[in-house]
Amino acid sequence: MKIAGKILSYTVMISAVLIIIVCGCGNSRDGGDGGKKKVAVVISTLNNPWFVVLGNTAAGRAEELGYEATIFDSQNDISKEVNHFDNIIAAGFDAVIFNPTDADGSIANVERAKKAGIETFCIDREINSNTAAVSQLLSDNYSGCVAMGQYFVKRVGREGTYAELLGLVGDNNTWNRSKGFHSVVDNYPGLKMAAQQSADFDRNKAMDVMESILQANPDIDAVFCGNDAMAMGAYQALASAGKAGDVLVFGFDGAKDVINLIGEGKIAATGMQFPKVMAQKAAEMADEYEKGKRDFPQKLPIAVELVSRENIEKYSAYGKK
Amino acid sequence: MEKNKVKILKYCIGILITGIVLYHSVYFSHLDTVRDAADATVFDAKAYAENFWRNELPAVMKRAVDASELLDLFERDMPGAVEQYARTLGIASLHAYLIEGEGRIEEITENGLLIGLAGDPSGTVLIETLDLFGNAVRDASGLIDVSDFPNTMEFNTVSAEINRIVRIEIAGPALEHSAVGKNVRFTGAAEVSEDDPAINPLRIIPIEIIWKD
Repeated sequence: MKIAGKILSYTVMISAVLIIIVCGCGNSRDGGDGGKKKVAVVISTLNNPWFVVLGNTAAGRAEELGYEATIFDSQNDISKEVNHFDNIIAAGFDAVIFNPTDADGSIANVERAKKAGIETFCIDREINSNTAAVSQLLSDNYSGCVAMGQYFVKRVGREGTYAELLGLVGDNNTWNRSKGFHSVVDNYPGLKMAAQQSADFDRNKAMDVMESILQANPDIDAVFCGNDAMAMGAYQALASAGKAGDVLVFGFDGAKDVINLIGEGKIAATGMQFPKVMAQKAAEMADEYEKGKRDFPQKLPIAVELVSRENIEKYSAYGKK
Repeated sequence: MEKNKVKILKYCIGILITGIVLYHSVYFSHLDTVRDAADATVFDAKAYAENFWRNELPAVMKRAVDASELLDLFERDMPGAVEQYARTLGIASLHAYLIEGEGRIEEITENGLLIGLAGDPSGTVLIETLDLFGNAVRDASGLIDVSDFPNTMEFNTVSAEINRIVRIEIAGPALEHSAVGKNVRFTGAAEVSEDDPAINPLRIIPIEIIWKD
């Protein structure tokens, strides 16, 4: 009887130890080992200060909420983004705050993460899927550029010639901005678009593109740029050509350089996106998801505000004062 | 002889099998058929906006707030106005309102009809006929959800199509029938920022204009 009792107590002890080990392993991604949960912040490019603010803010907010945050730079390269997601899945991250490189090409990465039990929250750039990510927090680019178009007409007038620098052609933001702008400007037949070229949201490319546009169209009155990096590149090209005071430059983002130049009267306007608001909100939503909330809007637009010489005193870089 | 016959038979069977495999490997369609099939998958914003305008929007027009009441509320209690009457897209300080009212055409400007509101000596609104842009009608209706669209470009194209309908069916005829002194009843939509309550006149994208004389 004594032996049977001993065997029973050993069996109970071994079972208890096994249960603890199994549960411990199963909960390793939940921080059950006492470690912090992990959030990956995947950013399309850190070669643009606006995205640096976006990434740093998301990571900072995640850390404030108790997570370990790691930033990945995709360098606007979908293959690098694929590698990042491979690493994120292999390393067992708990959530991804994701600024995609391509509206269609990035869907597969989000779906792979989802399959591995890692939920994704998109910020700033959209993917063309309503089911892959938990939620997508996006600047209301179209409305922002409707306001920009109205201000453009106010400053340039109803007659004139202008150029447009587009961003990455595979990114929805590029077209939402362009379409919002044209939904206004195209109603004025006296406003002629002399050139429309992509500069990939890149400052150096924008400078090159603007130089060639100026050679073919030396008398343009204005240039509308799909982001502030391109606005800075265009402004540099205009300054080099001695035309900085003659051609009105319009940007989009609310980056520090452009806000400063609006203050100095050298750039006409920008559309203030709120990268800090977007990034903080995404980190908070990821935290809410981890805590059990499931009811999120698939798309959450964040308003864009027009910043010009008339209201520049209300704004600083990347947000309101 | 017999051997040759077997060889020929084998070749014939081989060619027949190869033919069947090739025939079922490649399908040829007329280019127009392929194009039509591709077009069918493209979002038809025009049809969507037409359906919204004719079949869905009329049902929510009764939700419109009286213009004088709203202007008064903007002055006294902007947060209250937002809470009671606004529709907001995402996180924004810009809100959309469905508005109705009646009054007298005080002036016909380059931008539209300046209406003095009946029974409200200080209340004026501008019925836009030129600057028909933005998302006022789409968002004020509260009927169209951005999350229902696979991408925001489609969602935004709907606004452009709604504004096109307004331009053709409402703004154009409004200018033809207008004269200073005429009385009108209107329903429309406006976007107002809670940060910038200096709204005079309130600019309204018209949805319906009824001439009272």
